Amino acid sequence: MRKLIFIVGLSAVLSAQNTFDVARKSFEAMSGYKSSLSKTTMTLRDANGHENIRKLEIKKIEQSDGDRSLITFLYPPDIKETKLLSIEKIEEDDLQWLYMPALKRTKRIASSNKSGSFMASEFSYEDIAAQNYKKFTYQEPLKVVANEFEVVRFPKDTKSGYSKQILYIDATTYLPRFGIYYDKVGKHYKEIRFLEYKKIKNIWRAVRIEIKNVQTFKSSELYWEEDNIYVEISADEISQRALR
Amino acid sequence: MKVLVCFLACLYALHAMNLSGDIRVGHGDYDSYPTESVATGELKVQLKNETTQVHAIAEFLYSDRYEQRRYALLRELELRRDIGSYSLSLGKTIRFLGALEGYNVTDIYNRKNYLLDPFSKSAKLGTWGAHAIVYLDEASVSVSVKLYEEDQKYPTYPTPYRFFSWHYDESLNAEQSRYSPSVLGVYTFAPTDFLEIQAGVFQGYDSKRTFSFSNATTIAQNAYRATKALLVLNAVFQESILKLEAVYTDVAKGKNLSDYVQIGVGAEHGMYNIFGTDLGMYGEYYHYGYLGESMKNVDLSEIYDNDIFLALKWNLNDVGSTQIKGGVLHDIKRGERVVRIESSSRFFEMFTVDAAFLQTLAKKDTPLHFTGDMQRVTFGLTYNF
Repeated sequence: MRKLIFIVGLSAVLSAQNTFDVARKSFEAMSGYKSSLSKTTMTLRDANGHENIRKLEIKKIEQSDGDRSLITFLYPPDIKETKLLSIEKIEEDDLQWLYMPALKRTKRIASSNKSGSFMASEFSYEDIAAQNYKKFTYQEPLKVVANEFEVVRFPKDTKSGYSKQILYIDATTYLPRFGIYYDKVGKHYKEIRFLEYKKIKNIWRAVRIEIKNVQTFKSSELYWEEDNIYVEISADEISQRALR
Repeated sequence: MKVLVCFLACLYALHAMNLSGDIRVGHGDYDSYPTESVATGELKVQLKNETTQVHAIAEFLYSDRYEQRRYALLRELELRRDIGSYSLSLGKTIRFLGALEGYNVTDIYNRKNYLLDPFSKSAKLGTWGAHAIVYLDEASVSVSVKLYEEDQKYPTYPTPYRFFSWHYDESLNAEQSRYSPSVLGVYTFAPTDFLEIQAGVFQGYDSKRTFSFSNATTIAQNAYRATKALLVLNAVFQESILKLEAVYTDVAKGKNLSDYVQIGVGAEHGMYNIFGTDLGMYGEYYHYGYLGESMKNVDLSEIYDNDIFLALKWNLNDVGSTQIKGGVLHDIKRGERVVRIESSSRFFEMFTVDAAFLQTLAKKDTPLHFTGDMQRVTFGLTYNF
């Protein structure tokens, strides 16, 4: 009887929320890290199971109007020291620069590349950017399925490669577990799985994310080998002066 | 020797050392010259701590057939120190200036490495000098001082990369001492998020060179001093990037050369996720204007006098990061054309394969005609470490 009352009570609490609140709480569950320095390995798999590895160092500074990040490519050796600087803007186009060490050249990139492949992986530039809840509109009312919220969201940015995303968010931790992404014409395009999280200094951090393109059967996995937050990083370290 | 001692002292003072580089073996097939097999490579040594960095890059080229295409050189040797908003560096360095993809009229600081490939943007030689940058809020001011003008090597007949049919005396004839400094100052700023401007002035030995006969069969290169004003604009407009490069060069009287202007304008547009691939499209125009009576067609830069460049870059986004690039440079005035198609792909992480096709459709007795073989196919295998 007590169990029944608990389930009914929990359901009442869950259904009292709207989709926007859940999206905000989900974003907040992984926010507050101020700055981070991470080393990640990205594994690319083609439809036949052939694998290829990329290694990255990611420096990030959290900002209310959009994060700043500097990604330095560490591996394979032919792209070593290539750097990507991104300054995210919530309601405007992001700013991006690419540094190519062979030419000693810093090149401006148009933000229309959002839907483009990041390092030939199934992750696009917008997939690896901060998933700020303000970048989306939401479908109400909220659906609750087996202790998970079903959040249906629509990118506000017309340059996004997606028309709709459905995210399944853990009702206890507010962490995304699984997502289905639809392309611009509304076809089932990608599936994303958040396979592992860990808490660092009381903030949830993703450890392993897999994304699969259901149209090409190619997939990519990002694994955070090292992850440090509240790291001393100045804005200058994630600016154009770092691109050399 | 002093350079080596200095480098070893830096090795001792700094701790984090990084070694990287590549070795490529390739083959070149030419329509009017014998084929060649080549080996090229570079080794980069980098040492750094929080504020100081030393790096050296050595490279070599070995052709089994053409003796002129054999060298080993120190391309870069730089000591850099960052102090707050200042960055100071000393040594042999490469600087890049420009925004366009095909040809950069403002990229005047370094000499090209014509022995390696006159049509490659990355084939450049380091320049001895000093460099300082001051970073302001949304801007920077840099001053680069070239302290020495080196001899320039060119491949001559009978190599497929030839520039001349005559003997070439590589000793540079400099207007003043080779040690006369050349100074480049550049102010970089961004008035808005979507517009970046680089404005610069240069005083010193011009990147353009003239040639004169030192005897009946031998020519030599002449370096003369000039003053330049240059401008680079990069503007993000909707989903495209618009670019402008312009240089005005003031040449002192009495050199049979007039002042001249070089302008390049272009646009770049990307299309993404086309059946899982990405496509970049580039359109550029270059103009070379003589502001008075002048010797003409004395430097390779003058082939970009009234030319359109159209190119595509196709990223297949496969596990090998396969990339296919193709471009056409079309001279509107002379009807000359250069077509280049190249492709590269990575396998087993450490290896890349590449192939390139170049066809030059040149009119007789033009600067382009002197650039050597009219059709070439190259391919190679590179080990990266």
